[in-house]
Amino acid sequence: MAKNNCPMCGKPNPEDREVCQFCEARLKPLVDSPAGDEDTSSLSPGSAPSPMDTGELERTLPVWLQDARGTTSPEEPSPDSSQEEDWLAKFQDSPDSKKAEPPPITEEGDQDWLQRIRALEAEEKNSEKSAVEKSIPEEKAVAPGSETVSGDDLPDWLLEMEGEETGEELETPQASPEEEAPMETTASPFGEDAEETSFDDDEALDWLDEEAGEDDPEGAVPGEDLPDWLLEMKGEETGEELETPQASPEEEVPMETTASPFEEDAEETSFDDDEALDWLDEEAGEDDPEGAVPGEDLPDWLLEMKGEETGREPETPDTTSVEEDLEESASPFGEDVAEGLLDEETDLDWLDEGESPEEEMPDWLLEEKASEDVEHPSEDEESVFISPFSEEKKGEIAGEDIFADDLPQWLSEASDEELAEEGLSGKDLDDITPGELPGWVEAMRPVKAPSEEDSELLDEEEYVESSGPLAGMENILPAEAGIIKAHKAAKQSFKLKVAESQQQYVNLLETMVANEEKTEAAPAQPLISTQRVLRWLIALVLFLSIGFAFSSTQEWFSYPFHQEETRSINEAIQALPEASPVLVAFDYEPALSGEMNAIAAGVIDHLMLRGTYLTFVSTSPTGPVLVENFLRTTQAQHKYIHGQQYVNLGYIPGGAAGLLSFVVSPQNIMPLAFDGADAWKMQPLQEIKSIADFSLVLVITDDADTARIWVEQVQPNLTSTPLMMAVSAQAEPLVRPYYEATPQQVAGLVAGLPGGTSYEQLIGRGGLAQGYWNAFSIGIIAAGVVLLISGVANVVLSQIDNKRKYTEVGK
Amino acid sequence: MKFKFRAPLATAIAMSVGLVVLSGYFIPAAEPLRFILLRVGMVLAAVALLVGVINLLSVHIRKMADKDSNSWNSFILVVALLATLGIGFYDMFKAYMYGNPNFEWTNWIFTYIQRPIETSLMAVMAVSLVYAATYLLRRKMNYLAIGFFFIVLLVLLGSISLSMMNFPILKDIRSWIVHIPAVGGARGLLLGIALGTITTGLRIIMGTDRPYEG
Repeated sequence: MAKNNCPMCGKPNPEDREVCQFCEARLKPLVDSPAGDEDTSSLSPGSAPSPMDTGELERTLPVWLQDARGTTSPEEPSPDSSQEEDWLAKFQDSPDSKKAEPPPITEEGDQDWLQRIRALEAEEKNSEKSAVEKSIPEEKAVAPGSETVSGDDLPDWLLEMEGEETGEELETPQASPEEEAPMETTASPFGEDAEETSFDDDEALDWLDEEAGEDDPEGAVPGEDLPDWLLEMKGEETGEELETPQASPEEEVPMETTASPFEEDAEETSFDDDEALDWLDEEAGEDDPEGAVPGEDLPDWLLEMKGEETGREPETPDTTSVEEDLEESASPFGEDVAEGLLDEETDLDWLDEGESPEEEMPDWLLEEKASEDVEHPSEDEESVFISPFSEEKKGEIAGEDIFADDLPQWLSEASDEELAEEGLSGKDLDDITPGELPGWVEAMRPVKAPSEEDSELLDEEEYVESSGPLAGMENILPAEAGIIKAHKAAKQSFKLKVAESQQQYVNLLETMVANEEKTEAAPAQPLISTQRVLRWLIALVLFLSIGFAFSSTQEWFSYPFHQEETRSINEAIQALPEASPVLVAFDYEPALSGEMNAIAAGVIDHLMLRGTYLTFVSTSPTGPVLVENFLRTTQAQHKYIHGQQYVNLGYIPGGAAGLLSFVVSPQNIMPLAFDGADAWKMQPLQEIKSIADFSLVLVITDDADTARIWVEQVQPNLTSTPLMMAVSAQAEPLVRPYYEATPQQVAGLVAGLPGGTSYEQLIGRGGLAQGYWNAFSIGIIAAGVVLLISGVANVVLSQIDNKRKYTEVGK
Repeated sequence: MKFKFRAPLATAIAMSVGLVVLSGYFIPAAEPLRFILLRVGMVLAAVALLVGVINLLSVHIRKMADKDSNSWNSFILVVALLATLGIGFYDMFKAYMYGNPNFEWTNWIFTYIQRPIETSLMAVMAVSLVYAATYLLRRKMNYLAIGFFFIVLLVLLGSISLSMMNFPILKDIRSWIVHIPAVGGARGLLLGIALGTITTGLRIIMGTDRPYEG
């Protein structure tokens, strides 16, 4: 089975499907194919129509309709095929259908039927009376007015068509109209307009009289009672068999007039009102001999079509009404059934509207009209033509129950019973809006290029997509940028859902945090308390003891004996030559300057005694000031001059990194002295390239970490230069391991006031440390005594408390 | 999405500088680069000190506007800082312009204001330590507290040269305490500090630890 890929989703679909079974996109475009195009189902909207054979338009009909008509393949008539099983084929087998055996239609006759009609038309004029006897009354009665058409009453475009037809007629006079007329007349809307304009009014009236006589049911020939469209189908099915070379022109004329809705339009526009009314009265009597009300037995979709026509015609006096009529003529039963429901007034209105000039007609309609001029139906096949506007057939159909068994599902749904149940009458159905047309009817409407007027209507009423895959669809939203408006995204609530217990914890935490920031007022202490008294008592003891020591000149305490580490420093300094560059780091805080000055005083004194060139640095911001203060307060006797005997390089920022940088390149890191002088131009320092060039490095610090940094960053770069330290008592425990290490990282150590005192004693010069020694010793003793007494008292008090508790528990 | 450029940049700089400085110890060719980085670090530290002083000044200037009791303290601090800074600039101006680098006014401030204040605080701390030591056995009396108390007392008294303290056994005990347990404990501390320093350095070089708020 051939597959037809969907243009939208690309999925394969069966070839016979109209819409995609996946996305429901239309697989076959809703367009009229241009003339000459084999694919008659493809005509892009807006494309200019071209002259075409109306026989090819038959292909545009749905398959089911073509099957019903039996004209899908004229070369292959298959009376025995499955088409016989079609419900329409059953009509052929009905007794009424057997009454009329229309002549067969040949395909060759389809090509130039109009020419033959022209020839027959001339003959018809000469033998109208005799032709009446042969003609089929129904078909003549359908277009009585066609014979009354006068050239004066015709609009211009009909006159033009007439001229064209006459021209064509002369060129092809030998065509056999019987073979082609049935199909082509049903498809060509304007084919017969010009022909009938040549009729005289009298002839038309006579023809009407004849029609009236022939329409008598009792005198009707079997087969003439059949609806013409049934006869047409029968004739089509047997068209291959019947090859009638010539048809009488008398028979053609009425058939042609009934073949196309637009033929009637043009013809009837030239009618006098009275004549038209008479004709309609006759039609009413013929179509409904039993007095059946038109429209009652019709399905609703047909009624909708009628209503659409009646509703649309007075509103659209332009050519679009003609187009719509033409479009509706493509439906199998649309026009011929629905026309029976038209009242006289609407017919007349509609005919009046059909007088639109040819200039206002669309191109494709003009081409259709031109093609009709070339083709003429055969008079013999009148009975088998489907006349969309043959209202008498609808009356017959309405009176018979021939559709009861054979109607398809969709058609049977719209039965008379339903209409009766819904309480709809013919008038109600006329009021049905065009928008309620069945979908399949709308789908069969060809897409047209909107004219300016149409575009105005479209703008006002509805929008028809003119391009793209949605071409032809109505009432769709146009793709306009303004439709899409950016909106702010809806704000989502991110509020945390907290349980009650969790909220309690949160509140508790908030309370705790808030209380952290609050400073609770200290409880008011009594003026005299135990702790306060004890505190003042301890302070008083210490101050009195130390003060007493300072006031006394007597040395109550002997100086401590020097330790080994102190002697190491002494020996190293003693070994220094005069004016040796010595680097001294003052890395202690002013708070500990009392202790540190006493510790370092003996060592610096010894260095100055040795006449070394001192270079002071500090990793503490207050170090440079401490150096100046130290030299001024403790070493004033040496009268060292800045720049000549010592230099204060100042503060080395960066901690360990700065110290390491200074170790690598001291001249680059500290190029200037504390006072801004060029420190490295002095004689002892000119040869200093690195810290290893110093003769000795002495670090005076109260911080164990600073001492460690010096040991870690400087000592490895000193090579043979000894690193000595004078540290406070609190830093001694952490510095001593470096001294006691092997090899020694610290060559000498002076720790605490005892170390400084011993060093002064070692060098034999009394200094600051020895001056502090009595006070220091008395203060240590006082503190020891206080601790001892407090300890004993605490032990006694704790024992008393314990006994009291035991006694209380025992009681 | 806002890209946080600071964190990866700071991490990359710390790692690369650490690797270069570390490699300077083992690769002689990298030593000049290490030295450059060290100099840059030293300058940045000096700037950081200056920034700290400015921050301190700005904070206390803001606190001066507060109507609480601490606003006066902030006022005193700001005045003292500006006065010291002005005196320092004056002494530097004299030293550079007239070649008189004695820093007279700066030394006066240090000698008569800064050092006495800090030293006095140390003296008060000495009194507080003695007062705290008196409560050592009051709060909790156990063998460890008693041992700690007597060791403190022994070391204090052993640092002076009292005749009554010149008993050989006491001297030996003090010497043993200072040279064996104290040095052993100090070595343990130093080893711990060294290991911690190495670990911290490796973590910074590897980017695991980012103390620079990266």
